[in-house]
Amino acid sequence: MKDILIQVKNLSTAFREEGRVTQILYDVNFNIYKGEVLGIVGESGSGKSVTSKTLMRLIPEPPAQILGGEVLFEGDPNQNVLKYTENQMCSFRGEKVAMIFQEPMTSLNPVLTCGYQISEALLLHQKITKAEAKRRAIHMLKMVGIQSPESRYNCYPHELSGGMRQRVMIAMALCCSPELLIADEPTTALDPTIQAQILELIGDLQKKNGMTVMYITHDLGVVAETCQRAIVMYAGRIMEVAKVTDLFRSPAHPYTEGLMKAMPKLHEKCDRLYNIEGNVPNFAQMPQGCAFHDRCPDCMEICKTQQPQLVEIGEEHQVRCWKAQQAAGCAQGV
Amino acid sequence: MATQIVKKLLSIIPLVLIISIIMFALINMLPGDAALALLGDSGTLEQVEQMREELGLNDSMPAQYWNWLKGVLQGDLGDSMFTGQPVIDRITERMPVTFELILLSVVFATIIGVPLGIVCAVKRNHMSDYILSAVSMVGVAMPAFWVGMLLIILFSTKLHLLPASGYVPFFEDPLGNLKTMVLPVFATGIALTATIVRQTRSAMLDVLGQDYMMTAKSKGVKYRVQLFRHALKNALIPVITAISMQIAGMIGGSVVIETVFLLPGMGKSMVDAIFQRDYPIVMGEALVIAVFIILLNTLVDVIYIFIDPRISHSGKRK
Repeated sequence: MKDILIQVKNLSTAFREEGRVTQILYDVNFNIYKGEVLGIVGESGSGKSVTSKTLMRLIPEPPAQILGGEVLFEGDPNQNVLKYTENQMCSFRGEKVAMIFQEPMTSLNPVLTCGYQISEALLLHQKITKAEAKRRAIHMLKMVGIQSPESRYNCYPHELSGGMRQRVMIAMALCCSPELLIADEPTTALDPTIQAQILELIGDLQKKNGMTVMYITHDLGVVAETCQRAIVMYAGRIMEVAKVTDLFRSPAHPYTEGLMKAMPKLHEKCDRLYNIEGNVPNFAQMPQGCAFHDRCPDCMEICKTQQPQLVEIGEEHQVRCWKAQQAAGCAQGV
Repeated sequence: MATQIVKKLLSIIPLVLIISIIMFALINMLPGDAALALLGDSGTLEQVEQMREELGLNDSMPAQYWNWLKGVLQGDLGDSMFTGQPVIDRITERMPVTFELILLSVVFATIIGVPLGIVCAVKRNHMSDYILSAVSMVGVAMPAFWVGMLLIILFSTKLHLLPASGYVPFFEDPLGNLKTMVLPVFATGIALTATIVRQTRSAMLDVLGQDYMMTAKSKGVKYRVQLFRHALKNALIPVITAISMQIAGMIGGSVVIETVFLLPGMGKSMVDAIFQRDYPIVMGEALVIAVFIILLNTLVDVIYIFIDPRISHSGKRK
């Protein structure tokens, strides 16, 4: 049995605005195992970013509100991150779990030097001197592939390119050797060559440190290349969880299938890319039954009225779909 | 950076020249002149004409300006047409009063306004934010002279705590000086404080919503440090801009407060001089104010460079 690093149980998050409560996450359950690379995939508005930000309690409360559920560190019921005090939270963030964000251009503080921003994290979590923090920060800059790190240490973010800033972000996130790195679309804002470099860098550091990585992405290519397991999210619900090889070979959920079909393929000629009809449902007006049913090509009667549950259909393969469950022979699945 | 500052300072020369020409033209456009003002109704036409000749008012406008400029270049701002007092003496006598008033008001308003603005931003949409925002709205809306009169009624005539008017130079009697300055500083400072509260609140709210604040939080930075180390420095730039613009306005507005509290300041001196068409005084004091405002702007530019590294030394924002 693999060791659990973080266990998410029945997590529900909502936004409260002018008295109206809009639920964003519906009973999200999943585990992150030590040392694995996990991908969370979904369209914009599927709740993947909210999931990761709820994990670190970075989501601003209010307007957000965590309705219920648990986030257990190392699966320990006494270590519920959602019940941590502010002080516990400060030592959890950065030390146990670190995060890198989508927008390297705006994610670094423009009035503080890159070096300061890295050594600040070190000084927060480790009992070291300022000089030692500086030495380690320079070492980190070197590790993430920044040329002449000594002089870059004193640079301000605006003096660096987007790719370099993302490297600084990675150095900052990894300087305290966190057990989990959450990468929230780390390459979306970068051009393709830099994207590949950054993914490779994260991959190398992951292997070297035996770190756990959780990618948040809408890019199935990133998932295929970097992840071992993937979670497919749609409208705030987990639709499918599987090993990446299984997910690509035999996607069980029609939504996952649709995403696969929508990917451009190098070896096939096609005039038009496939697209899933319709739009992501509005969170304020969720359809009855399966959240995906009005866009689903295989919609059945039961889909319109009853919500399917997340059901195990194979080894480490769960899916939330009536059709897939029938096919797997566990139609009862309630 | 030093060369930048020198360049900025050198730009004072053409600016002051242009300002002085405009000022000179404006004064001369006013009906009447010093000779008429001096002699009043009693003077005969001949006497007025003779006075004009003595004061050099019959020269052509460019010639008069040139005479004045020649004096200034030699370090002589001329003498008052009324009292004969050298203009430079009048300025050194009156300037400290106005500058003290402005300096104390700005210090007072900044010390009170910035923390209150931060409180408003942090407690956004809470009771304390609503109350402070409403109070600062009222503060912006209240005219300084009216606040001044209310303060005099309360603290001087009713409570007999502070003098209603008068001025003692700081170096003669520091305590007495501060006592006379409390009410004027309060009266000018209230509107400034209110402006600073509102500016700080909106700048802080803007900064707190930025991505890098989320980054700081994700590193495990404590809330207090997030606010002061990561947010405040970013938020200060618009606040400093607002303060510097307010100071420029306060110089013009100082005449009102100086009149209410009978302070012998430059604002009042200038207005008196304009009514008397006392050209040398008006020109001399306008010159000092112009130089002061340019120096203030230079100082603010230098402060920007220290606070925001994105503002390069050439003064442009990258």
